[in-house]
Amino acid sequence: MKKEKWDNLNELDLVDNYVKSERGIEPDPSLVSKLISTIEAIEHSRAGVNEIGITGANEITKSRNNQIFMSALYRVAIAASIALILFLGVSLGSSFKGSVNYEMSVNINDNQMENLHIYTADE
Amino acid sequence: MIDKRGDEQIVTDFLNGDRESFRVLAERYSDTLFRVAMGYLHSKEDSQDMVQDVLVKVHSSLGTFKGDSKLSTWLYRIMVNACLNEIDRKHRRGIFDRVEDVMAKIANRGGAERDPQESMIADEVKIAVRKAIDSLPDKQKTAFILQKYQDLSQKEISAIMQISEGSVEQLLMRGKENLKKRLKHIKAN
Repeated sequence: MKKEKWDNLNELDLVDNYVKSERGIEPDPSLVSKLISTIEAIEHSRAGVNEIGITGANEITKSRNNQIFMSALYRVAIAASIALILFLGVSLGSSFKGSVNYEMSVNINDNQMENLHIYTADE
Repeated sequence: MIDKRGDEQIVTDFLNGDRESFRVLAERYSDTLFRVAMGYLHSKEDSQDMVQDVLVKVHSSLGTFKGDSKLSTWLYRIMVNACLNEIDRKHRRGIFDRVEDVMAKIANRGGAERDPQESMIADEVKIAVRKAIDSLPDKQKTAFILQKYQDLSQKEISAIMQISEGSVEQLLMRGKENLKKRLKHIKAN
């Protein structure tokens, strides 16, 4: 849509268009099936805890701990990536050298300029 | 096959041990609840997750439904509260989750090619409208979403929000004014 088209709409038309676009989004057809499976899984895990007692409860705790560990690991990975990017940025920035070669000026032999004999010599 | 039982009958059957009745209830209300969630969360995946969470809660607490209001009103109320809580939770989240969100958005960016100019303007406008809706006070936002996303009458909204119809009308008016104010800069640019 071109900019002129947006210009011809008033603020509430923009809102209506936005709402219309969001209303057009449909949930996945499998949403209810997934929900029913989730409910069944929850019921089974509850029944499992009742049947196998402490062992089952331990399994659930173990799986939760695993989830917490993975989540922490993910965060550490993000933090490490950011630190690495910063470090690389600073290192690259510090290691940059311009194209001017300063050694050139050092190599010029200018001792002739200091030869006072040029000015004091008899003509 | 369409189940012609009323909501109350379905609830009664479920509470009497007919587990399959809950599937009927879920099929009847999942789309409705999904649209409400979209109004608050603006993301298909988040909204689906929210519908799941809410219906799981409903499944375990359907016995507490007293029948004082319609079942749909009760469900809407639970969904509205769940969405508002989720938004609060998101605001309180740390930087890591936000980085995660941004990365997920970038990863999902691909797809159909569009005219870059059109895409840029459309995205800008969408973001601005979304921000404007999100920045409304909770009550105005709720009234707005229930009206615009669900086409509910002021009477139905008043039953869900447990306020008078007059108050709903005021909230809707103020909401529209606020949206207009917040979107004026788009026209200016």
